[in-house]
Amino acid sequence: MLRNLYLIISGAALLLSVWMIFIWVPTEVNQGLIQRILYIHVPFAWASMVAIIAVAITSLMFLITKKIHWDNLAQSLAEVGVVSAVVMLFSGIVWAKPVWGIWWTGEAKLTTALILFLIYCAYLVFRNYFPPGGARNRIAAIIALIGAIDSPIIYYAAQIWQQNHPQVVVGPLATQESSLSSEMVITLLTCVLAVTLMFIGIVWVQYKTISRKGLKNV
Amino acid sequence: MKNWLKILLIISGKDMLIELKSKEIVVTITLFSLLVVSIFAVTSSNPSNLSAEIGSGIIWASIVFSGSIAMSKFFSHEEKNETLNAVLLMPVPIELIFFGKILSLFLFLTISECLIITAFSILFNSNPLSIYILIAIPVFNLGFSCVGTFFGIISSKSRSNEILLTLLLIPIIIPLIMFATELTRAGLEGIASQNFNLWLSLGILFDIVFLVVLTFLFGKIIEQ
Repeated sequence: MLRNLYLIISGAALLLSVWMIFIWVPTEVNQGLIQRILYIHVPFAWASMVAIIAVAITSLMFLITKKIHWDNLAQSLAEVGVVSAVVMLFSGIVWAKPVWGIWWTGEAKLTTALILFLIYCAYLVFRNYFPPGGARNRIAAIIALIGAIDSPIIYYAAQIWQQNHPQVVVGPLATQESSLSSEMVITLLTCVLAVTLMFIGIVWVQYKTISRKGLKNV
Repeated sequence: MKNWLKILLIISGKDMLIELKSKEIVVTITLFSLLVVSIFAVTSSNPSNLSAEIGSGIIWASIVFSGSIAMSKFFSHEEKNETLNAVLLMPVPIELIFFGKILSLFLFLTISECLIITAFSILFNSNPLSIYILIAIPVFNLGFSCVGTFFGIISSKSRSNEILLTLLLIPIIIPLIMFATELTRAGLEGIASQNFNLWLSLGILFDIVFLVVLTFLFGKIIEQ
Protein backbone atom coordinates (compact mmCIF):
# COMPACT_ATOMS: atom_id res chain seq x y z
CA MET A 1 0.00 0.00 0.00
CA LEU A 2 2.71 2.42 1.07
CA ARG A 3 4.87 1.32 -1.86
CA ASN A 4 2.05 1.95 -4.37
CA LEU A 5 1.39 5.37 -2.86
CA TYR A 6 5.10 6.21 -3.16
CA LEU A 7 5.13 5.06 -6.79
CA ILE A 8 2.09 7.21 -7.61
CA ILE A 9 3.53 10.31 -5.92
CA SER A 10 6.99 10.01 -7.47
CA GLY A 11 5.54 9.12 -10.91
CA ALA A 12 3.22 12.13 -10.73
CA ALA A 13 6.10 14.39 -9.67
CA LEU A 14 8.18 13.18 -12.63
CA LEU A 15 5.34 13.71 -15.11
CA LEU A 16 4.66 17.16 -13.65
CA SER A 17 8.32 18.13 -13.94
CA VAL A 18 8.45 16.96 -17.60
CA TRP A 19 5.37 19.08 -18.34
CA MET A 20 6.88 22.07 -16.55
CA ILE A 21 10.24 21.76 -18.35
CA PHE A 22 8.83 21.43 -21.86
CA ILE A 23 5.58 23.39 -21.74
CA TRP A 24 5.08 25.57 -18.68
CA VAL A 25 8.40 27.28 -17.94
CA PRO A 26 9.34 30.29 -20.15
CA THR A 27 12.45 30.11 -22.32
CA GLU A 28 15.44 31.95 -20.86
CA VAL A 29 16.29 35.09 -22.84
CA ASN A 30 20.10 34.78 -23.04
CA GLN A 31 20.68 31.08 -23.47
CA GLY A 32 17.48 30.04 -25.24
CA LEU A 33 16.24 26.45 -25.30
CA ILE A 34 19.55 24.94 -24.15
CA GLN A 35 19.03 26.49 -20.70
CA ARG A 36 16.34 23.85 -20.05
CA ILE A 37 19.16 21.37 -19.41
CA LEU A 38 19.43 23.14 -16.03
CA TYR A 39 16.29 21.31 -14.88
CA ILE A 40 18.00 17.95 -15.50
CA HIS A 41 21.58 18.89 -14.62
CA VAL A 42 21.00 20.45 -11.19
CA PRO A 43 18.68 17.72 -9.76
CA PHE A 44 21.10 14.95 -10.82
CA ALA A 45 24.09 16.91 -9.49
CA TRP A 46 22.20 17.23 -6.19
CA ALA A 47 21.33 13.51 -6.17
CA SER A 48 24.92 12.43 -6.88
CA MET A 49 26.38 14.71 -4.20
CA VAL A 50 23.79 13.53 -1.64
CA ALA A 51 24.68 9.94 -2.60
CA ILE A 52 28.40 10.53 -2.02
CA ILE A 53 27.80 12.02 1.43
CA ALA A 54 25.31 9.25 2.27
CA VAL A 55 27.79 6.53 1.16
CA ALA A 56 30.40 7.98 3.53
CA ILE A 57 27.91 8.15 6.43
CA THR A 58 26.50 4.64 5.88
CA SER A 59 30.03 3.22 5.50
CA LEU A 60 31.04 4.83 8.79
CA MET A 61 27.92 3.39 10.42
CA PHE A 62 28.83 -0.03 9.05
CA LEU A 63 32.36 0.21 10.47
CA ILE A 64 31.00 1.25 13.87
CA THR A 65 28.00 -1.10 14.18
CA LYS A 66 29.17 -3.96 11.85
CA LYS A 67 25.51 -4.36 10.77
CA ILE A 68 25.34 -5.62 7.17
CA HIS A 69 22.29 -3.50 6.23
CA TRP A 70 24.46 -0.35 6.43
CA ASP A 71 26.89 -1.87 3.93
CA ASN A 72 24.05 -2.93 1.59
CA LEU A 73 22.66 0.59 1.78
CA ALA A 74 26.10 2.08 1.04
CA GLN A 75 26.46 -0.13 -2.03
CA SER A 76 23.00 0.73 -3.38
CA LEU A 77 23.61 4.45 -2.77
CA ALA A 78 26.96 4.26 -4.56
CA GLU A 79 25.46 2.48 -7.56
CA VAL A 80 22.59 4.94 -7.99
CA GLY A 81 24.92 7.85 -7.16
CA VAL A 82 27.35 6.88 -9.91
CA VAL A 83 24.52 6.71 -12.47
CA SER A 84 23.31 10.15 -11.31
CA ALA A 85 26.87 11.46 -11.67
CA VAL A 86 27.01 10.16 -15.27
CA VAL A 87 23.79 12.08 -16.07
CA MET A 88 25.18 15.18 -14.30
CA LEU A 89 28.51 15.07 -16.18
CA PHE A 90 26.93 14.33 -19.56
CA SER A 91 24.24 17.03 -19.25
CA GLY A 92 26.89 19.50 -18.04
CA ILE A 93 29.14 18.80 -21.03
CA VAL A 94 26.26 19.15 -23.49
CA TRP A 95 25.20 22.42 -21.83
CA ALA A 96 28.71 23.90 -21.66
CA LYS A 97 29.51 23.69 -25.38
CA PRO A 98 26.89 26.13 -26.73
CA VAL A 99 26.99 28.39 -23.67
CA TRP A 100 30.72 28.61 -22.83
CA GLY A 101 32.06 27.52 -26.23
CA ILE A 102 33.98 24.60 -24.71
CA TRP A 103 33.05 21.08 -23.65
CA TRP A 104 35.08 21.07 -20.45
CA THR A 105 37.03 23.48 -18.25
CA GLY A 106 39.27 23.04 -15.24
CA GLU A 107 36.82 24.80 -12.91
CA ALA A 108 37.08 23.60 -9.30
CA LYS A 109 33.54 22.21 -8.98
CA LEU A 110 33.79 20.34 -12.30
CA THR A 111 37.19 18.83 -11.48
CA THR A 112 36.02 17.76 -8.01
CA ALA A 113 32.82 16.19 -9.38
CA LEU A 114 34.78 14.26 -12.02
CA ILE A 115 37.35 12.91 -9.57
CA LEU A 116 34.73 11.96 -6.98
CA PHE A 117 32.88 10.12 -9.75
CA LEU A 118 36.11 8.21 -10.54
CA ILE A 119 36.67 7.38 -6.85
CA TYR A 120 33.18 5.94 -6.48
CA CYS A 121 33.55 4.01 -9.75
CA ALA A 122 36.73 2.50 -8.24
CA TYR A 123 34.73 1.70 -5.08
CA LEU A 124 32.19 -0.26 -7.15
CA VAL A 125 34.90 -1.97 -9.22
CA PHE A 126 36.59 -3.01 -5.97
CA ARG A 127 33.34 -4.59 -4.73
CA ASN A 128 33.15 -6.64 -7.93
CA TYR A 129 36.80 -7.73 -8.07
CA PHE A 130 37.42 -8.56 -4.43
CA PRO A 131 36.33 -11.98 -3.09
CA PRO A 132 32.94 -11.57 -1.33
CA GLY A 133 32.78 -11.68 2.45
CA GLY A 134 33.26 -9.68 5.59
CA ALA A 135 36.73 -8.48 4.58
CA ARG A 136 35.44 -7.03 1.31
CA ASN A 137 32.61 -5.16 3.02
CA ARG A 138 34.91 -3.62 5.64
CA ILE A 139 37.58 -2.62 3.11
CA ALA A 140 34.92 -1.16 0.79
CA ALA A 141 33.64 0.96 3.70
CA ILE A 142 37.21 2.13 4.37
CA ILE A 143 37.63 3.09 0.68
CA ALA A 144 34.39 5.11 0.81
CA LEU A 145 35.68 6.94 3.89
CA ILE A 146 39.04 7.65 2.23
CA GLY A 147 37.13 9.10 -0.75
CA ALA A 148 35.18 11.36 1.59
CA ILE A 149 38.36 12.50 3.37
CA ASP A 150 40.03 13.20 0.02
CA SER A 151 37.17 15.30 -1.42
CA PRO A 152 37.94 18.61 0.42
CA ILE A 153 41.64 18.23 -0.53
CA ILE A 154 40.66 17.69 -4.18
CA TYR A 155 38.45 20.80 -4.08
CA TYR A 156 41.26 22.84 -2.48
CA ALA A 157 43.74 21.63 -5.14
CA ALA A 158 41.29 22.37 -7.96
CA GLN A 159 40.76 25.89 -6.60
CA ILE A 160 44.50 26.68 -6.52
CA TRP A 161 44.82 25.16 -9.99
CA GLN A 162 42.06 27.45 -11.21
CA GLN A 163 43.93 30.51 -9.86
CA ASN A 164 47.02 29.54 -11.89
CA HIS A 165 45.16 28.66 -15.06
CA PRO A 166 42.53 31.28 -15.95
CA GLN A 167 39.60 29.59 -17.64
CA VAL A 168 39.19 29.99 -21.38
CA VAL A 169 35.50 30.56 -21.77
CA VAL A 170 34.89 31.85 -25.28
CA GLY A 171 31.20 31.28 -25.93
CA PRO A 172 28.97 34.22 -26.87
CA LEU A 173 27.14 33.96 -23.55
CA ALA A 174 30.17 33.31 -21.39
CA THR A 175 30.22 36.65 -19.64
CA GLN A 176 26.50 37.28 -19.37
CA GLU A 177 24.94 36.84 -16.01
CA SER A 178 21.50 35.35 -16.02
CA SER A 179 19.07 35.20 -13.17
CA LEU A 180 16.16 32.81 -12.77
CA SER A 181 12.56 34.00 -12.86
CA SER A 182 10.06 32.72 -10.30
CA GLU A 183 8.62 30.14 -12.79
CA MET A 184 12.12 28.84 -13.40
CA VAL A 185 12.80 28.51 -9.67
CA ILE A 186 9.49 26.65 -9.15
CA THR A 187 10.30 24.30 -12.08
CA LEU A 188 13.80 23.68 -10.76
CA LEU A 189 12.52 22.89 -7.25
CA THR A 190 9.85 20.55 -8.67
CA CYS A 191 12.53 18.76 -10.72
CA VAL A 192 14.81 18.46 -7.67
CA LEU A 193 11.91 16.99 -5.69
CA ALA A 194 10.94 14.56 -8.48
CA VAL A 195 14.53 13.36 -8.98
CA THR A 196 15.01 13.01 -5.20
CA LEU A 197 11.86 10.88 -4.93
CA MET A 198 12.96 8.77 -7.90
CA PHE A 199 16.48 8.48 -6.40
CA ILE A 200 15.14 7.28 -3.02
CA GLY A 201 12.83 4.81 -4.77
CA ILE A 202 15.62 3.29 -6.91
CA VAL A 203 18.02 3.14 -3.94
CA TRP A 204 15.33 1.33 -1.95
CA VAL A 205 14.70 -1.23 -4.74
CA GLN A 206 18.44 -1.74 -5.17
CA TYR A 207 18.88 -2.12 -1.40
CA LYS A 208 16.18 -4.80 -1.29
CA THR A 209 17.77 -6.65 -4.25
CA ILE A 210 21.24 -6.60 -2.66
CA SER A 211 19.85 -7.71 0.72
CA ARG A 212 17.97 -10.62 -0.91
CA LYS A 213 21.08 -11.65 -2.85
CA GLY A 214 23.07 -11.57 0.38
CA LEU A 215 20.51 -13.79 2.12
CA LYS A 216 20.58 -16.23 -0.80
CA ASN A 217 24.38 -16.49 -0.62
CA VAL A 218 24.22 -17.21 3.12
CA MET B 1 63.30 5.76 19.00
CA LYS B 2 66.63 4.27 17.94
CA ASN B 3 65.06 0.83 18.11
CA TRP B 4 62.16 1.90 15.91
CA LEU B 5 64.54 3.22 13.28
CA LYS B 6 66.42 -0.06 13.37
CA ILE B 7 63.22 -2.07 12.79
CA LEU B 8 62.23 0.27 9.98
CA LEU B 9 65.60 -0.25 8.30
CA ILE B 10 65.36 -4.02 8.77
CA ILE B 11 61.93 -4.16 7.06
CA SER B 12 63.00 -1.89 4.24
CA GLY B 13 66.43 -3.56 4.00
CA LYS B 14 64.71 -6.92 3.46
CA ASP B 15 62.86 -5.52 0.43
CA MET B 16 66.03 -3.94 -0.94
CA LEU B 17 67.93 -7.20 -0.54
CA ILE B 18 65.23 -9.14 -2.40
CA GLU B 19 65.31 -6.51 -5.12
CA LEU B 20 69.11 -6.63 -5.36
CA LYS B 21 68.87 -10.35 -6.03
CA SER B 22 65.85 -10.42 -8.34
CA LYS B 23 66.16 -6.91 -9.90
CA GLU B 24 62.59 -7.33 -11.11
CA ILE B 25 61.06 -4.07 -9.95
CA VAL B 26 63.97 -1.86 -11.04
CA VAL B 27 64.08 -3.51 -14.47
CA THR B 28 60.28 -3.11 -14.84
CA ILE B 29 60.41 0.54 -13.78
CA THR B 30 63.38 1.30 -16.06
CA LEU B 31 61.87 -0.25 -19.15
CA PHE B 32 58.36 1.03 -18.57
CA SER B 33 59.37 4.60 -17.80
CA LEU B 34 61.71 4.67 -20.82
CA LEU B 35 58.88 3.36 -22.95
CA VAL B 36 56.39 5.99 -21.78
CA VAL B 37 58.80 8.93 -22.21
CA SER B 38 59.90 7.54 -25.62
CA ILE B 39 56.30 7.31 -26.84
CA PHE B 40 55.78 11.00 -26.04
CA ALA B 41 59.12 11.89 -27.66
CA VAL B 42 58.50 10.03 -30.92
CA THR B 43 54.91 11.24 -31.25
CA SER B 44 55.85 14.89 -30.73
CA SER B 45 56.87 16.66 -33.96
CA ASN B 46 59.44 18.89 -32.27
CA PRO B 47 60.45 17.52 -28.85
CA SER B 48 62.87 20.40 -28.18
CA ASN B 49 60.08 22.98 -28.32
CA LEU B 50 57.69 21.26 -25.98
CA SER B 51 55.64 23.57 -23.76
CA ALA B 52 56.36 23.41 -20.03
CA GLU B 53 52.75 22.51 -19.29
CA ILE B 54 52.84 19.40 -21.50
CA GLY B 55 56.39 18.55 -20.41
CA SER B 56 55.49 18.45 -16.72
CA GLY B 57 52.42 16.37 -17.57
CA ILE B 58 54.62 13.84 -19.43
CA ILE B 59 57.06 13.56 -16.53
CA TRP B 60 54.39 12.97 -13.89
CA ALA B 61 52.20 10.72 -16.04
CA SER B 62 55.27 8.51 -16.59
CA ILE B 63 56.11 8.53 -12.87
CA VAL B 64 52.54 7.69 -11.81
CA PHE B 65 52.16 4.82 -14.28
CA SER B 66 55.58 3.25 -13.78
CA GLY B 67 55.21 3.74 -10.01
CA SER B 68 51.83 2.01 -9.89
CA ILE B 69 53.14 -0.90 -11.99
CA ALA B 70 56.11 -1.27 -9.63
CA MET B 71 53.75 -1.21 -6.64
CA SER B 72 51.45 -3.91 -7.98
CA LYS B 73 54.49 -6.10 -8.77
CA PHE B 74 55.94 -5.45 -5.32
CA PHE B 75 52.75 -6.47 -3.50
CA SER B 76 51.83 -9.39 -5.75
CA HIS B 77 55.25 -10.89 -4.87
CA GLU B 78 54.51 -10.39 -1.20
CA GLU B 79 51.14 -12.09 -1.60
CA LYS B 80 52.47 -14.98 -3.71
CA ASN B 81 55.26 -15.82 -1.31
CA GLU B 82 53.19 -14.91 1.78
CA THR B 83 56.08 -12.77 2.98
CA LEU B 84 53.79 -10.05 4.30
CA ASN B 85 52.11 -12.57 6.59
CA ALA B 86 55.57 -13.58 7.84
CA VAL B 87 56.53 -9.94 8.45
CA LEU B 88 53.27 -9.39 10.33
CA LEU B 89 54.30 -12.08 12.79
CA MET B 90 57.22 -9.89 13.90
CA PRO B 91 56.76 -8.72 17.50
CA VAL B 92 56.77 -5.05 16.50
CA PRO B 93 54.02 -2.41 16.26
CA ILE B 94 52.03 -2.91 13.07
CA GLU B 95 52.50 0.77 12.19
CA LEU B 96 56.25 0.19 11.86
CA ILE B 97 55.63 -2.47 9.21
CA PHE B 98 53.47 0.03 7.32
CA PHE B 99 56.20 2.68 7.57
CA GLY B 100 58.82 0.14 6.48
CA LYS B 101 56.85 -0.63 3.31
CA ILE B 102 56.39 3.10 2.68
CA LEU B 103 60.16 3.57 2.95
CA SER B 104 60.81 0.76 0.45
CA LEU B 105 58.35 2.20 -2.07
CA PHE B 106 59.75 5.69 -1.49
CA LEU B 107 63.18 4.42 -2.55
CA PHE B 108 61.83 2.58 -5.62
CA LEU B 109 59.93 5.68 -6.68
CA THR B 110 63.03 7.85 -6.29
CA ILE B 111 64.95 5.49 -8.59
CA SER B 112 62.15 5.64 -11.17
CA GLU B 113 62.06 9.46 -10.97
CA CYS B 114 65.82 9.74 -11.54
CA LEU B 115 65.47 7.57 -14.64
CA ILE B 116 62.46 9.41 -16.02
CA ILE B 117 63.99 12.85 -15.50
CA THR B 118 67.23 11.74 -17.18
CA ALA B 119 65.33 10.20 -20.12
CA PHE B 120 63.15 13.32 -20.41
CA SER B 121 66.20 15.64 -20.37
CA ILE B 122 67.87 13.69 -23.19
CA LEU B 123 64.84 13.04 -25.39
CA PHE B 124 63.30 16.52 -25.04
CA ASN B 125 66.53 18.55 -24.79
CA SER B 126 65.41 20.33 -21.68
CA ASN B 127 66.41 20.45 -18.06
CA PRO B 128 63.54 19.84 -15.63
CA LEU B 129 65.88 19.85 -12.62
CA SER B 130 65.10 22.83 -10.43
CA ILE B 131 64.57 23.60 -6.78
CA TYR B 132 60.81 23.12 -7.37
CA ILE B 133 61.05 19.56 -8.64
CA LEU B 134 63.51 18.74 -5.86
CA ILE B 135 60.87 19.87 -3.35
CA ALA B 136 58.03 18.17 -5.24
CA ILE B 137 59.71 14.74 -5.41
CA PRO B 138 59.95 13.89 -1.67
CA VAL B 139 56.51 15.33 -0.88
CA PHE B 140 54.95 13.44 -3.79
CA ASN B 141 56.82 10.22 -3.02
CA LEU B 142 55.75 10.21 0.60
CA GLY B 143 52.04 10.61 -0.24
CA PHE B 144 52.16 8.28 -3.23
CA SER B 145 53.96 5.49 -1.37
CA CYS B 146 51.70 5.88 1.67
CA VAL B 147 48.46 5.57 -0.35
CA GLY B 148 50.14 3.00 -2.65
CA THR B 149 51.18 0.76 0.26
CA PHE B 150 47.67 0.84 1.68
CA PHE B 151 45.89 0.07 -1.58
CA GLY B 152 48.68 -2.28 -2.73
CA ILE B 153 48.07 -4.55 0.25
CA ILE B 154 44.30 -4.40 -0.32
CA SER B 155 44.43 -5.11 -4.05
CA SER B 156 47.04 -7.90 -3.75
CA LYS B 157 44.23 -10.07 -2.35
CA SER B 158 42.04 -9.59 -5.42
CA ARG B 159 42.09 -11.47 -8.70
CA SER B 160 42.85 -8.37 -10.83
CA ASN B 161 45.35 -6.66 -8.57
CA GLU B 162 47.14 -4.50 -11.20
CA ILE B 163 44.03 -2.84 -12.56
CA LEU B 164 42.42 -2.52 -9.13
CA LEU B 165 45.48 -0.82 -7.63
CA THR B 166 45.64 1.70 -10.48
CA LEU B 167 41.90 2.42 -10.29
CA LEU B 168 41.96 2.97 -6.54
CA LEU B 169 45.24 4.81 -6.33
CA ILE B 170 45.19 7.39 -9.11
CA PRO B 171 41.92 9.25 -8.32
CA ILE B 172 42.92 9.56 -4.66
CA ILE B 173 46.34 11.05 -5.43
CA ILE B 174 45.07 13.57 -8.03
CA PRO B 175 45.76 16.53 -5.65
CA LEU B 176 49.38 15.34 -5.31
CA ILE B 177 49.72 14.98 -9.08
CA MET B 178 48.40 18.55 -9.51
CA PHE B 179 50.89 19.79 -6.90
CA ALA B 180 53.88 18.04 -8.51
CA THR B 181 52.90 19.02 -12.07
CA GLU B 182 52.49 22.65 -11.13
CA LEU B 183 55.89 22.90 -9.41
CA THR B 184 57.62 21.05 -12.28
CA ARG B 185 56.00 23.39 -14.79
CA ALA B 186 57.42 26.39 -12.94
CA GLY B 187 60.84 24.70 -12.98
CA LEU B 188 60.67 23.98 -16.71
CA GLU B 189 59.61 27.55 -17.48
CA GLY B 190 62.40 28.86 -15.26
CA ILE B 191 60.10 31.27 -13.45
CA ALA B 192 58.95 31.59 -9.85
CA SER B 193 55.96 29.38 -9.14
CA GLN B 194 52.68 31.18 -8.60
CA ASN B 195 51.04 30.19 -5.31
CA PHE B 196 54.12 28.20 -4.31
CA ASN B 197 53.20 28.38 -0.63
CA LEU B 198 49.66 27.23 -1.30
CA TRP B 199 50.83 24.27 -3.40
CA LEU B 200 53.42 23.27 -0.83
CA SER B 201 50.89 23.48 1.98
CA LEU B 202 48.51 21.34 -0.07
CA GLY B 203 51.19 18.69 -0.69
CA ILE B 204 52.22 18.58 2.96
CA LEU B 205 48.57 18.58 4.11
CA PHE B 206 47.86 15.59 1.84
CA ASP B 207 50.87 13.70 3.21
CA ILE B 208 50.01 14.38 6.85
CA VAL B 209 46.29 13.57 6.50
CA PHE B 210 46.87 10.31 4.66
CA LEU B 211 49.83 9.25 6.78
CA VAL B 212 47.76 9.67 9.96
CA VAL B 213 44.47 8.24 8.61
CA LEU B 214 45.99 5.30 6.74
CA THR B 215 48.31 4.36 9.62
CA PHE B 216 45.20 4.13 11.79
CA LEU B 217 43.24 2.18 9.14
CA PHE B 218 46.15 -0.13 8.30
CA GLY B 219 45.54 -2.11 11.48
CA LYS B 220 41.88 -2.52 10.48
CA ILE B 221 42.66 -4.01 7.05
CA ILE B 222 45.39 -6.25 8.42
CA GLU B 223 42.86 -7.71 10.89
CA GLN B 224 41.12 -9.18 7.85
